[in-house]
Amino acid sequence: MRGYNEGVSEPTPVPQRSSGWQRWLSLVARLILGVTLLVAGALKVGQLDASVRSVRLYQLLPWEATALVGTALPIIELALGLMLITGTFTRVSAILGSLLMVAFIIAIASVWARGISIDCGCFSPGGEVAADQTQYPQEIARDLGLLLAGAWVAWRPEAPFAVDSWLFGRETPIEPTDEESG
Amino acid sequence: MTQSSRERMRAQESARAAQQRMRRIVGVGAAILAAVLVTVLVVVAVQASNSGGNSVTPPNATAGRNAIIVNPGVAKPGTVVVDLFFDYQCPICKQFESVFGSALDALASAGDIQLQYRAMTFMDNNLGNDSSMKTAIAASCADFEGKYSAYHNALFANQPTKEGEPYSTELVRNLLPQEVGITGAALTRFQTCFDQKATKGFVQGVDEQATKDGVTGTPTLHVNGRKIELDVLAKTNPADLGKLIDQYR
Repeated sequence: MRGYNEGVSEPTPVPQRSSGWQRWLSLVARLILGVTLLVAGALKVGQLDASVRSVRLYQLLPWEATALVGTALPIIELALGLMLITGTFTRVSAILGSLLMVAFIIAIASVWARGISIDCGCFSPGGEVAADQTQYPQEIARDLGLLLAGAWVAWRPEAPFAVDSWLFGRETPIEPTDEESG
Repeated sequence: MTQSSRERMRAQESARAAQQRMRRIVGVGAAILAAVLVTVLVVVAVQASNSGGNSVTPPNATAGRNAIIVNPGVAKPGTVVVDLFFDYQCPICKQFESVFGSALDALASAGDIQLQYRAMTFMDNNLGNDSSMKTAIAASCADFEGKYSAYHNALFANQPTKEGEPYSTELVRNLLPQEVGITGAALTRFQTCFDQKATKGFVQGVDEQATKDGVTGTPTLHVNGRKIELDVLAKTNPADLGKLIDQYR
């Protein structure tokens, strides 16, 4: 079998075989991160001006960059959410989703450390809130959980109900049969 | 068929299959990437063209288009610039207005300060309506009729009692302008300005500038760009506002 594939480079690494329970855990993790991203993106995509303003409240990025980030973020969240839910380029989207979570955690920790009182604007355009109304620990804990889900999926992307199994599936593998060789 | 030719055919077959697979992966990947990129670019372009492309500027706007001057041509030369940042939907701003409004107006008309109003619109986000933008546009439209200050006061006086309840269009478009004396042809001009959101770009610019200047909450009072903290203001008698402002010169 090995001989037939020689000289044909494998464009993508075949995911390491996952055991049964790992595949199902991957599906659950994929859906948790995917649905969260989808919902977060969908709730913001209709009010992009507000999304840009939320980004500005973090006072992290240069003014000119906030417009692009605030506009692009909901769209990227939607796209990544859909890709994770359908299992399309699962590993890549899980890595990107995890990187998003890392960025969110850094951003929230940074406003917390600087004593800025805002709503994270994660699922709706954020705003200023009273200092005792901030929920930074909860928001960071939630994003850590999502990061964990993303990391798992990136490590074990193989799961049921994935477009990937069609996308990366091998075209009609030719197995030598007993009949032929006999 | 010999063993080797069969093997060669299989090798070709599997090479073709691998090529197809590769083409499929690259194709789908490129399609997704292109779709996301194009969407972002189109949306960014639309956003940019929506914001203040053909906006008109109120006559008493500052040269930097970041405020409307309440007492144009009255301030004594070299006097302090006092900026008030507010949101027409903000209850504390109404409270501030009722405590310090007349004191500010008095200082402004005496020429002791150059009073500039900078309406912000962020509460639209928090409250999920468009009343901050709506009222800010209306107020800037009133400036064309020389009634900015009066209209501003009328807005706060008629702020909905429950936070988050929107200002009605009837109130903003028809009742308040007449209350402050915008009638006849002036009223028609005002309503056209309001209906067309003619000053929307200006209003957005004012809000952006305010955020750029580090103002994230309202009301905020700046004297020559220096903030007077709210707790300092809370301890100040309105009659002493002029003295307090002097300390920030």
